[in-house]
Amino acid sequence: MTGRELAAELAALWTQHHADTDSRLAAIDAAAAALLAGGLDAARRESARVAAHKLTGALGTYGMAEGSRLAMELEDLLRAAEAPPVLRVAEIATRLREIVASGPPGATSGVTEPRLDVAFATAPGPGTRAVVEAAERAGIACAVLASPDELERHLASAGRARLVVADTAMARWEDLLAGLAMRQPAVPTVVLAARDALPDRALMSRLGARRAIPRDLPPDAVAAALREVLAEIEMGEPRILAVDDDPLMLSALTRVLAANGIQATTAPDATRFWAMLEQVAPDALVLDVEMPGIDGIDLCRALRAHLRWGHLPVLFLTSLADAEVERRAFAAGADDYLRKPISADDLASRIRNRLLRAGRLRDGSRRAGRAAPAAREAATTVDVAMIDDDPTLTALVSHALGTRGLTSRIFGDATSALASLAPAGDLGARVLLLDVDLPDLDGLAVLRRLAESGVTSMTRTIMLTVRASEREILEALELGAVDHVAKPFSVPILMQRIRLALIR
Amino acid sequence: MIPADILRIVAVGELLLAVALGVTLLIAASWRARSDRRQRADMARGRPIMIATVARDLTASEVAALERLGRRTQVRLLAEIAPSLSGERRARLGAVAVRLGIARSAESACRSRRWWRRLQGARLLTLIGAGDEVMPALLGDGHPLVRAQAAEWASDHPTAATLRLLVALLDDPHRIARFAVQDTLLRVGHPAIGVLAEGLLRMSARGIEAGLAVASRVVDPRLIPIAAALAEHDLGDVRAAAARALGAQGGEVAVQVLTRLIEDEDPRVRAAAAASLGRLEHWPSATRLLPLLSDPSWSVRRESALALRAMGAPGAVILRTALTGEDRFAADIAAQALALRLGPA
Repeated sequence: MTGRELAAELAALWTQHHADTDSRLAAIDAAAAALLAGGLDAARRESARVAAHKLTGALGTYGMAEGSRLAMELEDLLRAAEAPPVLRVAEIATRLREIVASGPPGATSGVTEPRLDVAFATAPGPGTRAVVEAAERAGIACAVLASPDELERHLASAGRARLVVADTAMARWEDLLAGLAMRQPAVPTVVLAARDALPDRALMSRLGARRAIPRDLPPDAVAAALREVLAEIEMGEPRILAVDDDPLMLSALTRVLAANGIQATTAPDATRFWAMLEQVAPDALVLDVEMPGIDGIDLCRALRAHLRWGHLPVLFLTSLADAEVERRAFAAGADDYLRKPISADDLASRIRNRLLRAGRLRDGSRRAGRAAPAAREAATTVDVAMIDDDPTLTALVSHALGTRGLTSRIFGDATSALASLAPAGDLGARVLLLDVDLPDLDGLAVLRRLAESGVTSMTRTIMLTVRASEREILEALELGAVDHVAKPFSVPILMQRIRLALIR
Repeated sequence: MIPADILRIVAVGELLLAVALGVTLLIAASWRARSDRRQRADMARGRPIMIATVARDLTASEVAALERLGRRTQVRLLAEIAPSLSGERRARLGAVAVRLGIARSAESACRSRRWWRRLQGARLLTLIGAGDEVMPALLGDGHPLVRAQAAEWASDHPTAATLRLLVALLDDPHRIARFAVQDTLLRVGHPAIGVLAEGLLRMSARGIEAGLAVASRVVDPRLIPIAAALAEHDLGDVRAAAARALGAQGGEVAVQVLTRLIEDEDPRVRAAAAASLGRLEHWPSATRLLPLLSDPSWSVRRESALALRAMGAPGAVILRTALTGEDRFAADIAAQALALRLGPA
């Protein structure tokens, strides 16, 4: 989905949900009027605070950053113990009205450019024309782009195709495929190749092509193959389940994520949460913190205790900027805590990264295994291995890793760890947390041995120690450590460092 | 039946009269054209000298050249140049007029028994800024146009005595004289306020209204107690004028009085008080204006809505409250005010 399409969809949604926004603004107006009259009661104040809270997320999601900021300020004013400043509340109420009246940016343009299904990067000719005609008969919207420059311009346009067909008859088709694979987000590709070019299939696969279609197939057969790939692309989109009591927010979230290749199923409350989990089988959850009845944090805690769904990445999306709430969310097992407003691209990137880390974002065929519970404890490769002789600390880190969907193995001494992590050992780790003061062997010596055996080329090591002298840090880094965290440490910061190490 | 001879004589007589009239008109037109040509030439000669007056002292030959121009041309030159000058330059021009004897003849005209001659003299003295001896007396002239002209002259001569006379003239039965006095008092500004404040309490309702109209255009704390006292006047027109005057002053006392006046029995007073609260942008009064949006008087509803609009965000909140209320008159006027607020400038 292009930016213009998204803007138009958001504008349409905005119009549909105008009544919700009006009711929230009315609640804020009522509170402001009562405040002016000197009679703001607790119920009206709370109602306005909730309305401001909802507007914070909704306005930000719809691109009205100023409105979101003002709503957040209003929520803070109404939450504070002292009486809210009358004039400021009235100013915010009035400005919010003006912002809402002007609508989301880009809302004036209702014209959307139709999006193509397939772009053929091939020289025009009778053969190409026949394939295009067959594809169009099959309901596939096509365009023929004769050069890489034309393709580049097309991909930068609003109506860019969902799939690119590269013809190996074109010069430098390998570069073309490589470039498309490196785009963010990657552009799905298939290759039209001569039958005698089958040895090139390995190369095509490495370059990210989803399929190689023989060029001499009948046009209808090529069209059928393209339809299959397009269906795979549709199926290949990750799914998330979003629970939020703000319908405006949910609608926007659905469109915003769809524009970034993520299918979002939404629920306005937690009453049907478990049934929807079974029905949707999501790859991740997006939860609001404040909801009627059970709140998002309780829901997250309950989820973590669930045998089947306990591994799901959970992202909180809330307008609450309270550090205590954030701490509670992480303590309950949250993987990420996102504050509204958040841009569509940021949100999609955060969800995608989370899915990647959790190993849930795979190619189109992943659906078959979607419902299978994760059994990563039995795997020979873990996300994090930790060598530390402090059981309290290792329990804390182990819990934090587990609640984030990361597998771990804890070693209390260096000897057993080296035996397991050695190339001939039974364990591979993507990240190693290594203490220096170990009972049997110095941590730096452990690191040296791991480096000598080539383990550090595959395992990123983070030194975790009370020692933080410059010399020791430098020595560790020279031996191949990628980071150093001094004790005592903040668990969220350590988790962030681990996350960074995992994606390097 | 009239005899034919008599008819013939009458016809010849009429013919002769027509010829004589034609010849006279021709001569008059010729003389007028010649006179205009001469005056244009005189004006062209005198203009550079008169303009030079404002920059430097004239030489004897230049003064003599001006004296030769004749009174009519001299006055026309003065009338042409004086309105574009002020201060010292205007005084220099006045000094030349005195030297040419124009001031003396104007003062003489001011003592004429004919009102139009007095008016002519007063205008000339106003133009050249002279006439300190004769003009104050004209503030009590029998003709309103002369009094009005004298009031205009007084704006450049605001002595205490003149100001007292001016303030007394606020009670003038003729609108043109009152208007000239109001205009002069506004031009004089703060130096006139003390005299105005003293005089307001001793006037008739007509004078008080005219004085309060001046007070509503000048910000001076000395006016607040006077306007507050006049807000208790028996006449609604006076109370409304007092409300408007208080709207120009502001302050706690003014707001207290205005807050009371929005509940006055006279709709003109309520409307004026609401408008004044809006003029003061006194947003804490916004909720008090909410009931006025339902007032039976359209002008009260309108002024209240506009006042709320002027109060900014708090006023807008109240207008939106009225928008969703049950009173459709209040909702209608609130919608109009909000539309004005959100509409193009």
